[in-house]
Amino acid sequence: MAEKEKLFLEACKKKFKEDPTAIETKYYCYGGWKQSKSKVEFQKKASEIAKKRGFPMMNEDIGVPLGQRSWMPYQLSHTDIFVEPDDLHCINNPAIQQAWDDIRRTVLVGLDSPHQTIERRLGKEVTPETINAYLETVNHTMPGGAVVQEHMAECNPALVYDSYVKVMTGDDDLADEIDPRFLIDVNKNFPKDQAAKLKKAMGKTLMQAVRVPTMVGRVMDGATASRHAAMQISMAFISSYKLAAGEAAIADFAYSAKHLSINMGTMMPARRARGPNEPGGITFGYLDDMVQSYRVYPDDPARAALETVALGAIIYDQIYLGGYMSGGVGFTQYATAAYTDNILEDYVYHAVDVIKDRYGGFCGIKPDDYKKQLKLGDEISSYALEMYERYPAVMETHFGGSQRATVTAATTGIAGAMATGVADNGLNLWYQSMLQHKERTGRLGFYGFDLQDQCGSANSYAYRSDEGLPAELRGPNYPNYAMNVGHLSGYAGIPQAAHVARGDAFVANPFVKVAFSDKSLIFDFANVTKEIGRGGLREFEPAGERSAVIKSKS
Amino acid sequence: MAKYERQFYPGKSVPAANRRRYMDPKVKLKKLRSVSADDVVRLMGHRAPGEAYKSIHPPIAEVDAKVDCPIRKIVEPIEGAKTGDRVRYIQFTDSVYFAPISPYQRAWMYMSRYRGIDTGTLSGRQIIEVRERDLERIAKDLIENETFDPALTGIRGATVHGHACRLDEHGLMFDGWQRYLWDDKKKEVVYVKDQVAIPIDTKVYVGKPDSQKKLRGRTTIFRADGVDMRDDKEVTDFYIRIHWLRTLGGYRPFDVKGE
Amino acid sequence: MPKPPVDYANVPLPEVRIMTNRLLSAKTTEAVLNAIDPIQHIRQVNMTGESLPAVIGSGPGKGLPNNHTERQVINVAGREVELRCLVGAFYIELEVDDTDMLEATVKEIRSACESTIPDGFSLDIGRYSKYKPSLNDYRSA
Repeated sequence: MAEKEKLFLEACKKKFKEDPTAIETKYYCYGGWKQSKSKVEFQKKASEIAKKRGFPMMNEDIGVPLGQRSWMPYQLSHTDIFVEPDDLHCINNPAIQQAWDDIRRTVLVGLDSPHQTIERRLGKEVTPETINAYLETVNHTMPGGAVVQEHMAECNPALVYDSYVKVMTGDDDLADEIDPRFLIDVNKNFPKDQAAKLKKAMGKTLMQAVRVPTMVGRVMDGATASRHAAMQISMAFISSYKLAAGEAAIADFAYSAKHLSINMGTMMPARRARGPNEPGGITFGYLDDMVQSYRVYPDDPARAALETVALGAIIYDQIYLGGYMSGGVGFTQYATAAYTDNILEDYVYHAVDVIKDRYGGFCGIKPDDYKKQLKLGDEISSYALEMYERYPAVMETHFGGSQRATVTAATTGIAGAMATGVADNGLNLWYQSMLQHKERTGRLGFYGFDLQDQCGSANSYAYRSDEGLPAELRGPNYPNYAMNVGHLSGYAGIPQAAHVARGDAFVANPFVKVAFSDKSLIFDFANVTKEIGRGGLREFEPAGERSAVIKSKS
Repeated sequence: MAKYERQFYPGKSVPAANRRRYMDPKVKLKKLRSVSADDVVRLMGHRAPGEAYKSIHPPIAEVDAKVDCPIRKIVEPIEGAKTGDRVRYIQFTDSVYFAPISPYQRAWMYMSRYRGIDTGTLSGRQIIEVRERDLERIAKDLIENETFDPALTGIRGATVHGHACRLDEHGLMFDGWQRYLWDDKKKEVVYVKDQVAIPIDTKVYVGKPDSQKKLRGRTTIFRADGVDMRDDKEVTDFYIRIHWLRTLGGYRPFDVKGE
Repeated sequence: MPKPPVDYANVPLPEVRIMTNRLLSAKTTEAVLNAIDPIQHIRQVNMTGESLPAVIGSGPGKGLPNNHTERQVINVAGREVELRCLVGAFYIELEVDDTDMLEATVKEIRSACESTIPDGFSLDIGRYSKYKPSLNDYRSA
């Protein structure tokens, strides 16, 4: 072993000894719920609460006795962070919550239309100076600061510190004139080639990335984000352009901000009983653009796909299907298979090697060369299943067959997307993998799980309304996916894989991509699994906390 | 037009041949052990041996006399339906380590061999629901014939965890509720609890497990360390063809012709 | 290029992971632990496996004693340990100064396992267990 590695061992020993908490890490020696330190603490806390309120609360003795196996910690994929399954529950983990908060509270509002209103209807000039003055004003109003009227109640800055407005544009000349404090600088944030593509796609439009306070989403709902934004934007226009609050043109600002703005979640049909801008309405393409891995790690396209799967798992599977739609304790244990223990990691990096070695590299297979694609799909899916068969530890890491099915199909779908550069081809191979899995092992997922996977081949290329959509525009509400727990994370990774393989700078919307590259966001979308892990380690600091206005107990 | 001849499953490999055999109702499956009818009743735990069947409706003959229904004229009811039995179940867990049969093959086999059943397929377990007296007849078949191995097939109504776990030192599939034990003297597997883990008065011996080597000849499971599905070209082509036809059917249905 | 805002430098002690080819009986587990126990430079040994509940936890038999024959009290170096799972893996955390010591210790562990595990095992060196307190470890708050 090299001298360097010896030093590493020496260093790690010292480091470890310095950490007094680590000395106590004897978690897994004994059975039952008492083997888990977190369960013991849950029990202690629950007993205290029960005593205080005078009737019972959570009691681990009522639950199913746990096995040592199920209580091994999870390693967050491509990190060195180990946490317990409870740490990944979306109710416990503040980073997971903040990822959704940061998505929900983002509203993209164009400035071109209000600028036209100001210039053509009101006859006032819009200049870089007036834009900067407006941006300063709107960064006062957006968190909840009052302008125009006196005696208005305002929001406590300590509660809404995360709220702000910045702008982005593809016009370098215009960007140069914007106060850099308010600019999301495409040239600085992105590698040169990606920046060029993004600027071309955005054109001369000046777009605001509005972040309403996290607290607003927590107290109201997703649909409130654009309303809050619209009200505060209108107020900022009135103030910064010295307009009369009562004149009819003001309605245009509110109208354009409310109805021409871009929410992260599209509206779902009434039968879902959800408002606009909720996680079920986020298309895969938008979710893909929120993920920033390819921006920060452009040499690692596989990582981009995997990070997308992780974000999809927490937003779609854990929060949306597990919480919004199912309710109850949700699907944490199910969804985490996609972003823990480096299993999907191993399969996807292997797939990348295979594509490079034998299938002509990324985009090396023509999208209409189905024969070659099916050969690739057969090979990649077989590899994943073979790993489960050869390594009992991998098989036993998952709690059920449907996790095997998702991880295997996600790998195959990502491989297909990377090999062709087309998400729909990847989606098609997802379904090939499902059929292969069923045929090979004589088993697949759970009772209801199988349905969509066995009929999915037929809709994988369908584009017509009510039959299908390009994968980028599908989402949790696509008819065949509305009940697909454990699938959505993988589906989300497929368009990302296709577009990074092509070297694209974005998947569906350049403004979404740029908006989530901003360093002022609380959650770091370039390091999704790491952030989830930080949440588990209590190193993550979320916004939207009420502690600033609550008397401290200690 | 040539007379339609039913086909069952493609492939030349051992798992493919076993799938064909299990599905084909003309093939009489080998009986490998004898378990008495009363013992089958004990293992399932729905009623005590000798206890009368509970009924949920009057005999169909009485009901039919009052109803003019064309379906009832076409379909001959199974015995339990005639008498108004409850619908009860037996559920099997099949180990991934070369169990004789696997969940989907069970579904296909059941549909092909039995009438009046409802069956549900999951990754680790497979349930069959049917009128009680018919269930007892079918369950006896399924426990005695070659689709059952005492070590790698579990009769489990609840907490079925174990299909993907490593085997124990005796080669038995893991069961946290230990419904069955290894009898080291007899070298046989013996059930001491029913399928939902309620202890039974009389132990039920289900015989000696087969060796792993022999089970590889009996299984329907393709595995990398057994017969890899990729080595059975016909099966591989078959699943890809299904996928491709479905793909075309939804995408370019006009191109399906000739495929 | 912007650097990721979070970084981790925490490095843990190495672990030896023994994955057995079969789930072990209580008797074999006891033998393995007693063979590993005297080896130097081991900080702790953790076992995992399939749970053997004391009581049937769900279904019509809920509340009945499970009476699993392998849920036994075993004796490890004079200490009684109630075994609650059918063991399938051992995670042995080492406290070693250098690679020579690491290799010598692993050699001893391998030899202890070879003499006690009848159906074989695989041995890996890495890190598999949690080494920093997480969200729910309130005690270290």
